[in-house]
Amino acid sequence: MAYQILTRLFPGADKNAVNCVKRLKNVPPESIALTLALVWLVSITLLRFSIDANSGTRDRLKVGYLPITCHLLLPVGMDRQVFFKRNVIPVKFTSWPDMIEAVKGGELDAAFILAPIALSLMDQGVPVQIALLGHRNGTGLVVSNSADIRDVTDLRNKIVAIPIRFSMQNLALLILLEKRGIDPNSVTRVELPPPDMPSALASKSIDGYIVGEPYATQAELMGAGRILKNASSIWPQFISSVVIVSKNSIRARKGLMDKLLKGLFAQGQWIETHRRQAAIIGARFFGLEPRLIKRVLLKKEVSYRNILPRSKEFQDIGKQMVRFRLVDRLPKVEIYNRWQ
Amino acid sequence: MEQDETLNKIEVRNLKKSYVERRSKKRFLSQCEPQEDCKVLDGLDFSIPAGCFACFIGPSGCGKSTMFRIISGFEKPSSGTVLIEGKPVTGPSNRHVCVFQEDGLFPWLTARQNIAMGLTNAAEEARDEVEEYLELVGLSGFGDHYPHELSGGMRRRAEVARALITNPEILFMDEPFGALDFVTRLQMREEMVNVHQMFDMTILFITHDIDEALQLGDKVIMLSDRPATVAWDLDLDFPHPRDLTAGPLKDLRKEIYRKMGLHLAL
Amino acid sequence: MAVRRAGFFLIFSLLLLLWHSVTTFFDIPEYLFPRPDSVAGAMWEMVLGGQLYRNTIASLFRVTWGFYLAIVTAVPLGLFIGRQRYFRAFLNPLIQFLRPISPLAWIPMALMWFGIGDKPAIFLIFLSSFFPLVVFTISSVLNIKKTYLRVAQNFGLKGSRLYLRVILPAALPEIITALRITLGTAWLVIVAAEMIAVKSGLGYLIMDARNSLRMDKVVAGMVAIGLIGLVLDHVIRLLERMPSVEWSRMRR
Repeated sequence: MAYQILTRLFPGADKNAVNCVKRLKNVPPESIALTLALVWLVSITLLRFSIDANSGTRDRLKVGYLPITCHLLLPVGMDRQVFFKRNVIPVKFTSWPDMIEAVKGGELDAAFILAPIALSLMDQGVPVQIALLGHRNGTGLVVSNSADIRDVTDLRNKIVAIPIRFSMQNLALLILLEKRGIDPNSVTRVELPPPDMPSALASKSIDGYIVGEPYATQAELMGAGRILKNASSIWPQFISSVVIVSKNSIRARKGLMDKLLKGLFAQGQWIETHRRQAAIIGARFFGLEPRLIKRVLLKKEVSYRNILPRSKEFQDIGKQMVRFRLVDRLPKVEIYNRWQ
Repeated sequence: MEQDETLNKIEVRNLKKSYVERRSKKRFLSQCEPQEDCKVLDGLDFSIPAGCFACFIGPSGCGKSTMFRIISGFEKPSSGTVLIEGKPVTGPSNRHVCVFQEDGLFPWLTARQNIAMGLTNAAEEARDEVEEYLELVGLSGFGDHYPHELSGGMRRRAEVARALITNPEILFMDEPFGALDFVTRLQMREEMVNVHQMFDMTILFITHDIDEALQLGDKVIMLSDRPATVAWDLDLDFPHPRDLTAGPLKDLRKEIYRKMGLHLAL
Repeated sequence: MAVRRAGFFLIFSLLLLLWHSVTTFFDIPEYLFPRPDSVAGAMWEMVLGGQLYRNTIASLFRVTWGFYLAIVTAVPLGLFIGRQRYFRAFLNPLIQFLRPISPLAWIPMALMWFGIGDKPAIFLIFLSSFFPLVVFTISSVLNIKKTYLRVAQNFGLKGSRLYLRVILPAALPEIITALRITLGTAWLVIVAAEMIAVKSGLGYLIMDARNSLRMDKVVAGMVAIGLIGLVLDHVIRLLERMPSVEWSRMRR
């Protein structure tokens, strides 16, 4: 059968390979084109899978993260622990909506994700639970140097970027504005992926932004803006991101999952005592300037202590979310702590 | 009566065709009033015996091509009948092959492949046959050329070869040489005479060239202006090659010119 | 040919010169627009690190599969619809409705259905090529010269033989033009899709470089995309030179 097809395609060809080559001139160009197209298909597919040879995901956990210091536990783990190197696939995202889609699609076993997003996912019935916090504090409200903003009240009629509506940064900004008696509607809030914020500020398309580190400090390094307020002064023991875990993954691979969480937790303690080294690892992993991460970590504004989740704190966050109409009802909070 | 029908290969009885013009379509160009039946053929009657070379002449646009499409089965008549060997025509058949007015060679196939199109049998034995026909129409050596690499006359020859290789009973040719230059046309005319003598088939041949009709036809059917009727059904029983400048053919030629309303001093 | 080649080199040298002089003369900071030498450096760095190779393979892999899937579905479908008046009346509105929806609008759906990885990107490429290909194929079937169909009918060609020996080859020149256009769009879309739906590929390379604030790598990525696009176009143009397709160019 195959031979028949071949002789049909290549009328000049027969079993003799030498003749085959000789008669290549007689082969219709359509057959050559078709053959080359198939050869290309096969070779590009083989190449693709030879490159991704290590993508066997059976005993590996996919963990989503963004290049922000709140997610530093993961790179440090990847650098320091054999368990991570062997059993964890870090999946880097650049914006929150993409990561949300991935979580909803059940693509990730665990993810570093903003606390309000985690709550709203649980509210929508996505099978995830909160297992750990990323870090505490480490969020800054940055204002442009050129916009003449000395105080929070100067933000009126200005444009301020937030990472996404469902972010602690947004809640903190709203609380701050409310505290200082500013109508939140008088400040234009726009959603931007964190990595875009410093350059948006430099190009003066926004007047300020509130974001997790290192993108707050970045504005200072670039000379485009300065940190007006740290989140810790708005909301003590500020939580930015949490680690959520998929319930399905816990069911299927509890041992691995618990090891992952224990490992991440341990990295927090190590970072506290080895900030300089952690900064170098983070910079390499995130592809950011080492100088920047070092500066952020050495300021000690960020804290990797006290990162076990407490349901009381999440209820507070939930209440704020209801108050600012991000959700209709108080989201039910599910915490996974049987790994501890 | 029975015998009469078998003698006549093609019987056309009271053939009528009219189109319903659509309001929007080419309204300004149409000769007819919109939404009115546009008569093309108005009761054609003729019969063509087997093996006859029949030429059709008539003013351009009189409906010759429409008549051809009906006889060869591509279109349905509005009324009337077309019988081939006593049976009504139901659709195109590979026993009745057409050479169309426009280039009908498939441009994506070489001359050889085009001619092989007409064959249904397996490839190997066909190869020799195709070579034979290439040679017959004087195209040996051009078998691997694509139509766009051939001259107009060569393309026509290849097309005739493609039709002949099927060994058809009837060959329809609709102004096949209209687009060729004068000398090539004369050559093709000569070759057609040979072809008709070599093959045992009926040929229906449309032309706007009166000399061509007189030189080729065993029968010349002259159609009137639109709506077409048979204006003159003329049998020519002269040996080939024919000389049109003397004898009875000269007079017939004059008569045709006169009937077409031409009064040139020829 | 020589003129074309000379033009090619001339325009790119001019562009390079302009780029270099503008960036140095106005002292434009690297993070706004990097200079050609730093882009070349970044390119070299990515070549050495294997980054360029890996991501190019990933992008080409997705484009290949998405595009091939589109061809094997859209072309037969288009040939069929082109021949069947009733199917055309029935399916054309649907195709015309789906066609103007940018493939990028399907990203959320693609992510939901296929997760992250190659599948959503292949799906997006498929969508971006499928609808234009169907539409082009239908119109190329409708443009086939009546005479060819009559000849085919005369020789009694029916069914698959009619499609393979007459309709497909007669429509092929226009289909190949359509392939050229859609491959261009596919290459546009893959970059956009990879900025969102996957974690590898040239689009991702650019996105990742941006997040690391490496503008030189961003521009190097853009250059790579442009160059590969150029090569793809060149390859597909070879198809137009096949003798069984060349006739349509000769006619003009």
